[in-house]
Amino acid sequence: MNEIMQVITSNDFLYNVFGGFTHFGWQAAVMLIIGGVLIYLGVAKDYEPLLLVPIGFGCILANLPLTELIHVPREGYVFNDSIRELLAASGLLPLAEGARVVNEGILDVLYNAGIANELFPCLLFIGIGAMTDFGPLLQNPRILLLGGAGQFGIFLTLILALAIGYEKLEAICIAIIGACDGPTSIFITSMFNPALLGPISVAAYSYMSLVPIIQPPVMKLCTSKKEREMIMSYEMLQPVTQRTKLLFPIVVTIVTLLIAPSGGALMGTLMFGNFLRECGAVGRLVQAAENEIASITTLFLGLTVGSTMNGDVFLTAKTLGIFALGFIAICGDTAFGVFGAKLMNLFSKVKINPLIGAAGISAFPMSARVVHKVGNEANPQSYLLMHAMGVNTGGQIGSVLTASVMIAVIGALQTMGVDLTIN
Amino acid sequence: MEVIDNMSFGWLLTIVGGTMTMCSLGVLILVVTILKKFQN
Repeated sequence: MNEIMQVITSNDFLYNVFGGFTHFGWQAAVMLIIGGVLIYLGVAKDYEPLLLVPIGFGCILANLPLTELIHVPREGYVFNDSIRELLAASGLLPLAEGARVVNEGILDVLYNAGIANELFPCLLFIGIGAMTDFGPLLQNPRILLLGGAGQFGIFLTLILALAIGYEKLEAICIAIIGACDGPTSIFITSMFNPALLGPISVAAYSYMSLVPIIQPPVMKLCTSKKEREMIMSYEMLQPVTQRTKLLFPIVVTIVTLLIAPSGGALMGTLMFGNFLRECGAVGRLVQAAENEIASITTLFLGLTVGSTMNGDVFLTAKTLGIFALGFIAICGDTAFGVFGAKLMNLFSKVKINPLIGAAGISAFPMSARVVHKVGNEANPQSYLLMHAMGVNTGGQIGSVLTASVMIAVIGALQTMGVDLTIN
Repeated sequence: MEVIDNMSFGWLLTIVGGTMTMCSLGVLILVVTILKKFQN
Protein backbone atom coordinates (compact mmCIF):
# COMPACT_ATOMS: atom_id res chain seq x y z
CA MET A 1 0.00 0.00 0.00
CA ASN A 2 2.86 2.31 0.91
CA GLU A 3 4.49 1.67 -2.42
CA ILE A 4 1.31 2.56 -4.25
CA MET A 5 0.94 5.79 -2.29
CA GLN A 6 4.54 6.68 -3.03
CA VAL A 7 3.99 6.25 -6.75
CA ILE A 8 0.69 8.13 -6.76
CA THR A 9 2.05 11.10 -4.87
CA SER A 10 5.32 11.40 -6.78
CA ASN A 11 5.63 14.52 -8.92
CA ASP A 12 6.72 12.60 -12.02
CA PHE A 13 3.66 10.36 -11.85
CA LEU A 14 1.24 13.24 -11.38
CA TYR A 15 2.99 15.28 -14.09
CA ASN A 16 2.52 12.53 -16.63
CA VAL A 17 -0.90 11.23 -15.60
CA PHE A 18 -2.32 14.74 -15.80
CA GLY A 19 -0.20 15.51 -18.84
CA GLY A 20 -3.08 17.22 -20.60
CA PHE A 21 -3.04 19.94 -17.97
CA THR A 22 0.67 20.05 -17.18
CA HIS A 23 1.63 20.42 -20.84
CA PHE A 24 -1.06 22.97 -21.57
CA GLY A 25 0.57 26.32 -22.41
CA TRP A 26 -0.58 29.78 -23.44
CA GLN A 27 -0.03 28.98 -27.13
CA ALA A 28 -2.41 26.02 -26.90
CA ALA A 29 -4.97 28.21 -25.13
CA VAL A 30 -4.81 30.88 -27.85
CA MET A 31 -5.08 28.24 -30.58
CA LEU A 32 -8.16 26.70 -28.93
CA ILE A 33 -9.75 30.15 -28.97
CA ILE A 34 -8.83 30.59 -32.65
CA GLY A 35 -10.29 27.14 -33.42
CA GLY A 36 -13.46 28.16 -31.55
CA VAL A 37 -13.69 31.42 -33.51
CA LEU A 38 -13.38 29.55 -36.83
CA ILE A 39 -16.14 27.16 -35.80
CA TYR A 40 -18.27 30.13 -34.69
CA LEU A 41 -17.74 31.92 -38.00
CA GLY A 42 -18.71 28.78 -39.89
CA VAL A 43 -21.71 27.78 -37.80
CA ALA A 44 -23.19 31.09 -36.65
CA LYS A 45 -22.12 33.45 -39.43
CA ASP A 46 -22.24 30.96 -42.33
CA TYR A 47 -18.75 31.95 -43.57
CA GLU A 48 -17.61 28.94 -45.67
CA PRO A 49 -18.94 26.51 -43.01
CA LEU A 50 -17.98 23.40 -44.99
CA LEU A 51 -14.32 24.34 -44.60
CA LEU A 52 -14.12 26.49 -41.50
CA VAL A 53 -15.90 24.00 -39.23
CA PRO A 54 -13.50 21.07 -39.92
CA ILE A 55 -10.52 23.48 -39.94
CA GLY A 56 -11.57 24.89 -36.56
CA PHE A 57 -12.07 21.44 -35.07
CA GLY A 58 -8.79 20.19 -36.50
CA CYS A 59 -7.08 23.20 -34.92
CA ILE A 60 -8.53 22.30 -31.51
CA LEU A 61 -7.53 18.63 -31.87
CA ALA A 62 -3.96 19.45 -32.87
CA ASN A 63 -3.38 21.92 -30.05
CA LEU A 64 -4.56 19.80 -27.15
CA PRO A 65 -1.31 18.53 -25.66
CA LEU A 66 -0.09 14.92 -25.96
CA THR A 67 -2.87 13.83 -28.33
CA GLU A 68 -0.16 12.79 -30.83
CA LEU A 69 -2.68 12.99 -33.66
CA ILE A 70 -0.40 14.83 -36.04
CA HIS A 71 3.35 15.46 -36.26
CA VAL A 72 3.84 16.44 -39.89
CA PRO A 73 4.56 18.80 -41.60
CA ARG A 74 7.03 19.79 -38.87
CA GLU A 75 10.53 18.40 -39.22
CA GLY A 76 12.20 15.97 -36.87
CA TYR A 77 9.76 13.08 -36.64
CA VAL A 78 10.29 9.51 -37.78
CA PHE A 79 7.34 7.16 -37.72
CA ASN A 80 7.56 4.04 -35.67
CA ASP A 81 5.61 1.60 -37.81
CA SER A 82 8.12 -1.21 -37.57
CA ILE A 83 10.87 0.91 -39.03
CA ARG A 84 12.94 1.14 -35.88
CA GLU A 85 14.43 -2.30 -36.58
CA LEU A 86 14.95 -1.38 -40.20
CA LEU A 87 16.70 1.83 -39.20
CA ALA A 88 18.89 -0.07 -36.77
CA ALA A 89 19.76 -2.69 -39.38
CA SER A 90 20.67 0.05 -41.82
CA GLY A 91 22.92 1.68 -39.25
CA LEU A 92 20.77 4.82 -39.15
CA LEU A 93 20.22 4.71 -35.39
CA PRO A 94 20.70 6.76 -33.31
CA LEU A 95 18.74 9.41 -35.18
CA ALA A 96 19.95 12.93 -35.80
CA GLU A 97 19.84 15.21 -32.79
CA GLY A 98 16.34 16.53 -32.14
CA ALA A 99 14.56 13.80 -34.13
CA ARG A 100 12.29 11.41 -32.30
CA VAL A 101 10.49 8.21 -33.21
CA VAL A 102 6.71 8.48 -32.83
CA ASN A 103 3.64 6.46 -33.74
CA GLU A 104 1.82 7.77 -36.78
CA GLY A 105 -1.31 9.67 -35.71
CA ILE A 106 -4.57 9.43 -37.65
CA LEU A 107 -4.13 12.96 -38.94
CA ASP A 108 -0.58 12.10 -40.03
CA VAL A 109 -2.16 9.36 -42.16
CA LEU A 110 -4.62 11.82 -43.73
CA TYR A 111 -1.90 14.43 -44.23
CA ASN A 112 0.41 11.98 -45.98
CA ALA A 113 -2.45 10.50 -47.99
CA GLY A 114 -3.87 13.71 -49.38
CA ILE A 115 -2.02 16.89 -48.52
CA ALA A 116 1.67 16.01 -48.79
CA ASN A 117 1.10 14.60 -52.27
CA GLU A 118 -1.51 17.30 -53.20
CA LEU A 119 -4.21 14.68 -53.87
CA PHE A 120 -7.07 16.31 -51.92
CA PRO A 121 -7.03 19.66 -53.78
CA CYS A 122 -7.03 17.74 -57.08
CA LEU A 123 -10.03 15.61 -56.04
CA LEU A 124 -11.82 18.83 -55.15
CA PHE A 125 -10.97 20.21 -58.57
CA ILE A 126 -12.77 17.31 -60.24
CA GLY A 127 -15.87 18.31 -58.27
CA ILE A 128 -15.42 22.01 -59.10
CA GLY A 129 -15.05 21.16 -62.80
CA ALA A 130 -18.19 19.03 -62.65
CA MET A 131 -20.13 21.92 -61.09
CA THR A 132 -18.93 24.63 -63.49
CA ASP A 133 -20.81 25.67 -66.60
CA PHE A 134 -18.38 27.38 -68.99
CA GLY A 135 -21.28 28.28 -71.31
CA PRO A 136 -21.36 32.04 -70.48
CA LEU A 137 -17.59 32.22 -71.04
CA LEU A 138 -17.82 30.42 -74.38
CA GLN A 139 -20.55 32.80 -75.51
CA ASN A 140 -18.07 35.68 -75.32
CA PRO A 141 -14.57 34.13 -75.17
CA ARG A 142 -12.61 37.41 -75.23
CA ILE A 143 -13.63 38.02 -71.59
CA LEU A 144 -11.25 35.18 -70.76
CA LEU A 145 -8.59 37.91 -70.78
CA LEU A 146 -10.27 39.45 -67.72
CA GLY A 147 -9.78 36.14 -65.91
CA GLY A 148 -6.08 36.69 -66.53
CA ALA A 149 -6.08 40.38 -65.59
CA GLY A 150 -7.68 39.46 -62.28
CA GLN A 151 -4.63 37.36 -61.42
CA PHE A 152 -2.20 40.28 -61.39
CA GLY A 153 -3.02 40.87 -57.72
CA ILE A 154 -1.05 37.64 -57.18
CA PHE A 155 2.06 39.15 -58.75
CA LEU A 156 1.61 42.45 -56.90
CA THR A 157 1.45 40.56 -53.61
CA LEU A 158 4.46 38.46 -54.56
CA ILE A 159 6.54 41.61 -55.07
CA LEU A 160 5.25 43.15 -51.81
CA ALA A 161 5.92 39.97 -49.80
CA LEU A 162 9.48 39.76 -51.14
CA ALA A 163 10.03 43.47 -50.52
CA ILE A 164 9.12 43.18 -46.84
CA GLY A 165 11.42 40.23 -46.33
CA TYR A 166 9.55 36.97 -46.88
CA GLU A 167 11.59 34.17 -48.43
CA LYS A 168 10.98 33.31 -52.09
CA LEU A 169 8.89 30.17 -51.62
CA GLU A 170 6.97 31.74 -48.71
CA ALA A 171 6.13 34.76 -50.87
CA ILE A 172 4.71 32.53 -53.62
CA CYS A 173 2.45 30.71 -51.17
CA ILE A 174 1.21 34.03 -49.75
CA ALA A 175 0.68 35.58 -53.17
CA ILE A 176 -1.43 32.65 -54.37
CA ILE A 177 -4.10 33.63 -51.79
CA GLY A 178 -4.92 36.21 -54.47
CA ALA A 179 -6.16 33.40 -56.70
CA CYS A 180 -9.12 33.46 -54.30
CA ASP A 181 -9.17 29.73 -54.70
CA GLY A 182 -8.80 27.48 -51.65
CA PRO A 183 -7.69 24.26 -53.38
CA THR A 184 -5.10 26.11 -55.50
CA SER A 185 -3.70 27.84 -52.40
CA ILE A 186 -3.46 24.52 -50.57
CA PHE A 187 -1.91 22.82 -53.60
CA ILE A 188 0.81 25.45 -54.00
CA THR A 189 1.51 25.73 -50.26
CA SER A 190 1.79 21.98 -49.73
CA MET A 191 4.15 21.88 -52.69
CA PHE A 192 6.43 24.76 -51.71
CA ASN A 193 6.09 25.43 -47.98
CA PRO A 194 3.82 23.03 -46.03
CA ALA A 195 4.63 24.74 -42.73
CA LEU A 196 2.42 27.68 -43.81
CA LEU A 197 -0.59 25.50 -44.74
CA GLY A 198 -2.61 26.54 -41.69
CA PRO A 199 -2.42 30.34 -41.95
CA ILE A 200 -2.61 30.38 -45.75
CA SER A 201 -5.64 28.14 -46.07
CA VAL A 202 -7.48 29.97 -43.28
CA ALA A 203 -6.66 33.31 -44.92
CA ALA A 204 -7.72 32.02 -48.37
CA TYR A 205 -11.06 30.62 -47.21
CA SER A 206 -11.80 33.57 -44.92
CA TYR A 207 -11.24 36.11 -47.67
CA MET A 208 -13.22 34.00 -50.15
CA SER A 209 -16.19 34.20 -47.82
CA LEU A 210 -15.62 37.95 -47.38
CA VAL A 211 -15.69 38.69 -51.13
CA PRO A 212 -19.12 40.43 -50.84
CA ILE A 213 -17.62 42.79 -48.26
CA ILE A 214 -14.13 43.31 -49.72
CA GLN A 215 -14.90 43.75 -53.43
CA PRO A 216 -17.63 46.46 -53.64
CA PRO A 217 -15.58 49.32 -52.11
CA VAL A 218 -12.61 48.51 -54.37
CA MET A 219 -14.90 48.33 -57.42
CA LYS A 220 -16.44 51.69 -56.58
CA LEU A 221 -13.03 53.23 -55.99
CA CYS A 222 -11.80 52.11 -59.42
CA THR A 223 -14.83 53.19 -61.48
CA SER A 224 -16.85 56.35 -62.07
CA LYS A 225 -20.62 56.39 -61.54
CA LYS A 226 -21.12 56.64 -65.31
CA GLU A 227 -19.02 53.52 -65.89
CA ARG A 228 -20.94 51.56 -63.25
CA GLU A 229 -24.29 52.56 -64.79
CA MET A 230 -23.37 51.21 -68.22
CA ILE A 231 -25.78 48.61 -69.59
CA MET A 232 -24.27 45.62 -71.38
CA SER A 233 -26.13 44.16 -74.29
CA TYR A 234 -26.84 40.44 -74.36
CA GLU A 235 -26.44 40.45 -78.13
CA MET A 236 -22.69 40.08 -77.73
CA LEU A 237 -23.29 36.61 -76.24
CA GLN A 238 -23.35 34.21 -79.18
CA PRO A 239 -24.98 30.85 -78.51
CA VAL A 240 -22.75 27.79 -78.29
CA THR A 241 -23.58 24.22 -79.11
CA GLN A 242 -23.15 21.25 -76.78
CA ARG A 243 -20.35 20.01 -79.05
CA THR A 244 -18.34 23.19 -78.37
CA LYS A 245 -18.92 22.84 -74.64
CA LEU A 246 -17.80 19.23 -74.87
CA LEU A 247 -14.64 20.04 -76.81
CA PHE A 248 -13.70 23.02 -74.60
CA PRO A 249 -12.24 21.05 -71.64
CA ILE A 250 -10.22 18.86 -73.99
CA VAL A 251 -8.86 21.88 -75.89
CA VAL A 252 -8.04 23.76 -72.65
CA THR A 253 -6.26 20.71 -71.24
CA ILE A 254 -4.12 20.21 -74.34
CA VAL A 255 -3.28 23.90 -74.89
CA THR A 256 -2.51 24.79 -71.26
CA LEU A 257 -0.56 21.64 -70.52
CA LEU A 258 1.55 22.08 -73.62
CA ILE A 259 2.42 25.55 -72.26
CA ALA A 260 2.78 24.58 -68.58
CA PRO A 261 2.99 20.79 -68.20
CA SER A 262 3.72 20.97 -64.49
CA GLY A 263 0.22 22.31 -63.89
CA GLY A 264 -1.20 19.01 -65.13
CA ALA A 265 -2.61 17.98 -61.77
CA LEU A 266 -4.58 21.22 -61.35
CA MET A 267 -5.79 21.91 -64.86
CA GLY A 268 -6.14 18.22 -65.74
CA THR A 269 -8.49 17.47 -62.86
CA LEU A 270 -10.52 20.68 -63.28
CA MET A 271 -11.08 20.01 -66.97
CA PHE A 272 -11.66 16.28 -66.43
CA GLY A 273 -14.49 17.15 -64.04
CA ASN A 274 -15.94 19.55 -66.60
CA PHE A 275 -15.67 16.97 -69.39
CA LEU A 276 -17.60 14.47 -67.25
CA ARG A 277 -20.33 17.09 -66.91
CA GLU A 278 -20.50 18.04 -70.57
CA CYS A 279 -20.22 14.59 -72.15
CA GLY A 280 -23.60 13.69 -70.68
CA ALA A 281 -22.84 9.97 -70.57
CA VAL A 282 -21.66 9.55 -66.99
CA GLY A 283 -24.34 11.11 -64.81
CA ARG A 284 -23.44 8.91 -61.84
CA LEU A 285 -19.79 9.99 -61.95
CA VAL A 286 -20.81 13.65 -62.16
CA GLN A 287 -23.09 13.19 -59.15
CA ALA A 288 -20.30 11.45 -57.24
CA ALA A 289 -17.74 14.14 -58.14
CA GLU A 290 -20.12 16.96 -57.16
CA ASN A 291 -21.40 15.39 -53.97
CA GLU A 292 -19.77 12.36 -52.36
CA ILE A 293 -16.17 12.86 -53.50
CA ALA A 294 -16.26 16.63 -52.96
CA SER A 295 -17.86 16.24 -49.51
CA ILE A 296 -15.48 13.54 -48.27
CA THR A 297 -12.46 15.39 -49.60
CA THR A 298 -13.62 18.68 -48.09
CA LEU A 299 -14.06 16.98 -44.73
CA PHE A 300 -10.62 15.36 -44.71
CA LEU A 301 -8.93 18.40 -46.22
CA GLY A 302 -10.43 20.80 -43.69
CA LEU A 303 -9.68 18.60 -40.70
CA THR A 304 -6.10 17.95 -41.79
CA VAL A 305 -5.35 21.55 -42.74
CA GLY A 306 -6.81 22.70 -39.41
CA SER A 307 -4.59 20.27 -37.58
CA THR A 308 -1.49 21.83 -39.13
CA MET A 309 -2.31 25.05 -37.26
CA ASN A 310 0.08 24.38 -34.45
CA GLY A 311 0.60 27.24 -32.00
CA ASP A 312 4.35 27.51 -32.46
CA VAL A 313 3.92 27.93 -36.23
CA PHE A 314 0.68 29.90 -36.29
CA LEU A 315 1.25 32.43 -33.52
CA THR A 316 3.96 34.43 -35.21
CA ALA A 317 4.25 37.83 -36.86
CA LYS A 318 4.46 35.90 -40.14
CA THR A 319 0.82 34.86 -39.80
CA LEU A 320 -0.30 38.47 -39.33
CA GLY A 321 1.71 39.39 -42.42
CA ILE A 322 0.06 36.57 -44.38
CA PHE A 323 -3.41 37.85 -43.50
CA ALA A 324 -2.49 41.44 -44.39
CA LEU A 325 -0.90 40.46 -47.71
CA GLY A 326 -3.78 38.11 -48.54
CA PHE A 327 -6.16 41.03 -48.13
CA ILE A 328 -4.00 43.17 -50.44
CA ALA A 329 -3.94 40.30 -52.96
CA ILE A 330 -7.72 40.13 -53.22
CA CYS A 331 -8.12 43.93 -53.39
CA GLY A 332 -5.38 43.96 -56.05
CA ASP A 333 -7.11 41.24 -58.08
CA THR A 334 -10.34 43.23 -58.05
CA ALA A 335 -8.62 46.47 -59.10
CA PHE A 336 -6.54 44.80 -61.84
CA GLY A 337 -9.67 43.11 -63.18
CA VAL A 338 -11.55 46.42 -63.39
CA PHE A 339 -8.60 48.21 -65.03
CA GLY A 340 -8.17 45.25 -67.39
CA ALA A 341 -11.78 45.76 -68.52
CA LYS A 342 -11.12 49.49 -69.03
CA LEU A 343 -8.05 48.62 -71.09
CA MET A 344 -10.11 46.24 -73.23
CA ASN A 345 -12.60 49.04 -73.86
CA LEU A 346 -9.80 51.16 -75.35
CA PHE A 347 -9.21 48.59 -78.08
CA SER A 348 -12.71 47.28 -78.62
CA LYS A 349 -15.73 48.57 -80.55
CA VAL A 350 -18.22 46.79 -78.31
CA LYS A 351 -17.76 48.33 -74.85
CA ILE A 352 -18.14 46.38 -71.63
CA ASN A 353 -19.03 47.55 -68.13
CA PRO A 354 -15.67 47.67 -66.29
CA LEU A 355 -17.31 46.23 -63.18
CA ILE A 356 -17.40 42.75 -64.74
CA GLY A 357 -13.58 42.70 -64.66
CA ALA A 358 -13.80 42.41 -60.87
CA ALA A 359 -15.31 38.93 -61.30
CA GLY A 360 -12.04 37.67 -62.82
CA ILE A 361 -11.20 35.73 -59.67
CA SER A 362 -11.90 32.18 -58.71
CA ALA A 363 -14.58 32.78 -56.05
CA PHE A 364 -17.44 31.32 -58.09
CA PRO A 365 -20.28 32.31 -58.29
CA MET A 366 -20.04 34.74 -55.39
CA SER A 367 -17.93 37.31 -57.20
CA ALA A 368 -20.26 37.35 -60.22
CA ARG A 369 -23.22 37.98 -57.94
CA VAL A 370 -21.39 40.83 -56.21
CA VAL A 371 -20.60 42.45 -59.57
CA HIS A 372 -24.23 42.12 -60.65
CA LYS A 373 -25.42 43.67 -57.37
CA VAL A 374 -23.07 46.66 -57.58
CA GLY A 375 -24.06 47.27 -61.24
CA ASN A 376 -27.72 46.92 -60.41
CA GLU A 377 -27.43 49.40 -57.52
CA ALA A 378 -25.85 51.95 -59.87
CA ASN A 379 -28.49 51.39 -62.56
CA PRO A 380 -31.57 49.24 -61.87
CA GLN A 381 -31.89 48.62 -65.64
CA SER A 382 -28.46 46.98 -65.72
CA TYR A 383 -28.31 43.18 -65.62
CA LEU A 384 -24.69 42.02 -65.56
CA LEU A 385 -25.08 38.54 -64.08
CA MET A 386 -24.46 36.38 -67.16
CA HIS A 387 -21.53 38.54 -68.33
CA ALA A 388 -20.01 38.41 -64.85
CA MET A 389 -20.54 34.62 -64.66
CA GLY A 390 -18.51 34.27 -67.85
CA VAL A 391 -15.67 36.36 -66.41
CA ASN A 392 -15.89 34.46 -63.12
CA THR A 393 -15.42 31.07 -64.83
CA GLY A 394 -12.59 32.70 -66.79
CA GLY A 395 -11.11 33.64 -63.41
CA GLN A 396 -11.17 29.97 -62.43
CA ILE A 397 -9.19 29.04 -65.51
CA GLY A 398 -6.94 32.09 -65.05
CA SER A 399 -6.07 31.27 -61.46
CA VAL A 400 -5.24 27.64 -62.22
CA LEU A 401 -3.24 28.73 -65.24
CA THR A 402 -1.28 31.30 -63.23
CA ALA A 403 -0.51 28.69 -60.56
CA SER A 404 0.58 26.23 -63.27
CA VAL A 405 2.84 28.81 -64.90
CA MET A 406 4.38 29.68 -61.52
CA ILE A 407 5.09 25.99 -60.85
CA ALA A 408 6.67 25.74 -64.31
CA VAL A 409 8.91 28.78 -63.78
CA ILE A 410 10.00 27.65 -60.32
CA GLY A 411 10.63 24.13 -61.64
CA ALA A 412 12.80 25.61 -64.39
CA LEU A 413 14.78 27.68 -61.87
CA GLN A 414 15.29 24.64 -59.64
CA THR A 415 16.45 22.57 -62.59
CA MET A 416 18.95 25.32 -63.41
CA GLY A 417 20.29 24.99 -59.88
CA VAL A 418 19.00 28.32 -58.56
CA ASP A 419 18.88 28.33 -54.78
CA LEU A 420 15.27 28.84 -53.61
CA THR A 421 15.56 27.19 -50.21
CA ILE A 422 14.06 28.76 -47.12
CA ASN A 423 16.64 29.69 -44.49
CA MET B 1 24.42 26.60 -56.84
CA GLU B 2 23.32 29.85 -58.47
CA VAL B 3 21.89 32.58 -56.25
CA ILE B 4 19.20 35.01 -57.33
CA ASP B 5 18.16 37.83 -55.02
CA ASN B 6 14.58 38.04 -53.80
CA MET B 7 13.43 41.04 -55.81
CA SER B 8 14.95 39.79 -59.07
CA PHE B 9 13.15 36.50 -58.44
CA GLY B 10 9.87 38.39 -57.90
CA TRP B 11 10.20 40.47 -61.06
CA LEU B 12 11.27 37.43 -63.09
CA LEU B 13 8.25 35.48 -61.95
CA THR B 14 5.94 38.45 -62.52
CA ILE B 15 7.18 39.19 -66.04
CA VAL B 16 7.49 35.59 -67.23
CA GLY B 17 4.44 34.32 -65.32
CA GLY B 18 2.23 37.25 -66.31
CA THR B 19 3.23 37.08 -69.95
CA MET B 20 2.80 33.30 -70.16
CA THR B 21 -0.61 33.45 -68.47
CA MET B 22 -1.93 36.16 -70.79
CA CYS B 23 -0.45 34.48 -73.90
CA SER B 24 -2.02 31.15 -72.91
CA LEU B 25 -5.39 32.83 -72.48
CA GLY B 26 -4.92 34.52 -75.86
CA VAL B 27 -4.26 31.14 -77.49
CA LEU B 28 -7.34 29.72 -75.76
CA ILE B 29 -9.51 32.56 -77.07
CA LEU B 30 -8.21 31.92 -80.55
CA VAL B 31 -8.88 28.19 -80.33
CA VAL B 32 -12.37 28.69 -78.89
CA THR B 33 -13.19 31.20 -81.63
CA ILE B 34 -12.09 28.67 -84.26
CA LEU B 35 -14.11 25.95 -82.49
CA LYS B 36 -17.18 28.14 -82.57
CA LYS B 37 -16.77 28.77 -86.30
CA PHE B 38 -17.11 25.03 -86.89
CA GLN B 39 -19.77 24.34 -84.33
CA ASN B 40 -22.61 24.21 -86.78
